Amino acid sequence: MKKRKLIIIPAYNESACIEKTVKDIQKYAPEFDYIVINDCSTDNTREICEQHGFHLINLPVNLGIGGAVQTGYLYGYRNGYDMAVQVDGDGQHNPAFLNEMAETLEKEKLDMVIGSRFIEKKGFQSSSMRRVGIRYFSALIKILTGVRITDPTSGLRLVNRKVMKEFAHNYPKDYPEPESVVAILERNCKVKEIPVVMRKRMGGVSSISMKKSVYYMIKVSLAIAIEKIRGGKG
Amino acid sequence: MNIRIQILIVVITLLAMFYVINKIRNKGIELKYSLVWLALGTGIIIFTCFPKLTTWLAHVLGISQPMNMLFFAGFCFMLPIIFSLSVSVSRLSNKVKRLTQEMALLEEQKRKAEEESEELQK
Repeated sequence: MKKRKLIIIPAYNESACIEKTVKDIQKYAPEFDYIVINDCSTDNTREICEQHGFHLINLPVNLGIGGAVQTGYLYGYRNGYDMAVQVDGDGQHNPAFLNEMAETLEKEKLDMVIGSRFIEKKGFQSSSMRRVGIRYFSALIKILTGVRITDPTSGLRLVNRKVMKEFAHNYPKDYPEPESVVAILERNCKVKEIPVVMRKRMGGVSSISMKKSVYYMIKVSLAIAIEKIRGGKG
Repeated sequence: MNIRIQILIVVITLLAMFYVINKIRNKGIELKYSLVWLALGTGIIIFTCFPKLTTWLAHVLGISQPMNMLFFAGFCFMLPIIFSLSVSVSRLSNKVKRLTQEMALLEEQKRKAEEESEELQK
């Protein structure tokens, strides 16, 4: 039976590159369905998507990245998809890797496949400050769960139906990636990373500014620890 | 305590409690959340009318200054109120998030259904 695969594209003020992101997906990953989650953008992201007839869900109020992506998982779960992958609307993620990710997930019977920038260390590697932060989270996750995740902040993640259900039910509101990986590791899910090349964002701004980075480090560290304490329950 | 300040405190507290009750009346605050504020008002009035009670309680607790005990008690009383507000806000924000998502999904379904019926009509 053919597996139904969904791409979730969270978009907040991505008018500069949403069109290219979706067109790339249609070109390089045609066997995937996609859904754009417009997180109540204040620019004309919505109009651009409607003009081109993109599949679109409009959130009536701004929920932030976590709430937007969760809407996608909810959509995927309810519409009977077997896999869902998050591809950011800013063009950082290259859809050419999606097929390889889906094959890996299916062949090795995994629950989650993460596209990691840091296995082959090719392409956009983020700023050195951020790499320090990412390495710190990587170490923290290794200590707490014993699993090595080289790119815990990667948004490019493909999950199966089991994890989709979990995420539809429970997903962090902001900076969701590292803690949600720990949450599913605690549920004895199998996670594997495969090397990908990411691009520099084509437009939009990162959700993590300098000012917020201190909050980010503290919040995510605490959230990871709490997920560990929860131990896969709740 | 001077009788004038006692009267002043009682009057101000009563006014504040009337304000809270009026808020309940016109649905500005839920009864559930107002109870703790009314209890606070009642407590203030009791302690103001019977200053001996304050002195006695401070003595029992081993606090030399009754005033210090009042400040401390007030502080301890406020903390759980504020914390319970944080809990309510978290719960509310989760509900709003889920409602928003459900609404967006419904709207998408509706749009899809309309498109399909338009195509059928053609």
